Amino acid sequence: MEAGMRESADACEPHPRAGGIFDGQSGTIAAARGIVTAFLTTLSTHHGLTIATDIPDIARLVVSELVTNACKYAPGPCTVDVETDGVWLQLSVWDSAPTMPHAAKPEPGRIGQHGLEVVLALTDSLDIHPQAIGKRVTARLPLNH
Amino acid sequence: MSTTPEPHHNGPPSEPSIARQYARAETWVIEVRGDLDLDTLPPLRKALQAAAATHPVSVLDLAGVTFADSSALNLLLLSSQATDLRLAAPAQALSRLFRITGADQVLHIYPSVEDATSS
Repeated sequence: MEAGMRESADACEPHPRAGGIFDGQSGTIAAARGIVTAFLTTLSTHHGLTIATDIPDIARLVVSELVTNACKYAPGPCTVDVETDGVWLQLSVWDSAPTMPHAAKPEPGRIGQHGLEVVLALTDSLDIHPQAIGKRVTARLPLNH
Repeated sequence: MSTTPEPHHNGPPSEPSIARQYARAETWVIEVRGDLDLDTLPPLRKALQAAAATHPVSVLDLAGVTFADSSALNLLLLSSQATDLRLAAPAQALSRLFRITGADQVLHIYPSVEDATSS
């Protein structure tokens, strides 16, 4: 289990990262977006990284979809981790449900099941790894493109 | 010695998602603002249901919406089946969501409230 709120802005560390553990109750999704927003701001202000103007909005949407799935389908807490190697932004969400999610095919009029479809459309890769408990879903997108 | 961290309890979202509502000709205009996600949607869901029951046309003023994800999209798609729902002035982030899901071909989107109420 990851530690609680933490953030590393230390230039000696190879990969800046941030994250948090959430109870999955109301407000979790907004708090996860807040972590991503704060992290991207730190990259820009403390690390001097150039981030494409649309990336913060896209990253917020991606993490919102991943955490929404965790809150809806997995009992108990979930964790959110965000890190970068300076080129790629990696967003990772762990939850307690072992069930592997699948993305539905795009179908504009369908109600529901647009979450992973949105993530797939906005990211370069999406990996789902079974864990000893639950699973970890990791999405990757470029900081600049 | 390390301790097991307590999960954050985040509390209820504080910002209301409905700024104001008003009648304009035959339409009911709902002005929304803030972030729309699974947790903040219930007031908007109620407002859309009430509008659909009392007015032939509902206009959602989205200019003040700072974020929306697929939970919000689902509500808009569902509401569009129940009534003549017109979406006005979505910001760039919302337009992206509508575009990548193809929902912009299904939903009725207008550049402004004036356009949505006068057509």
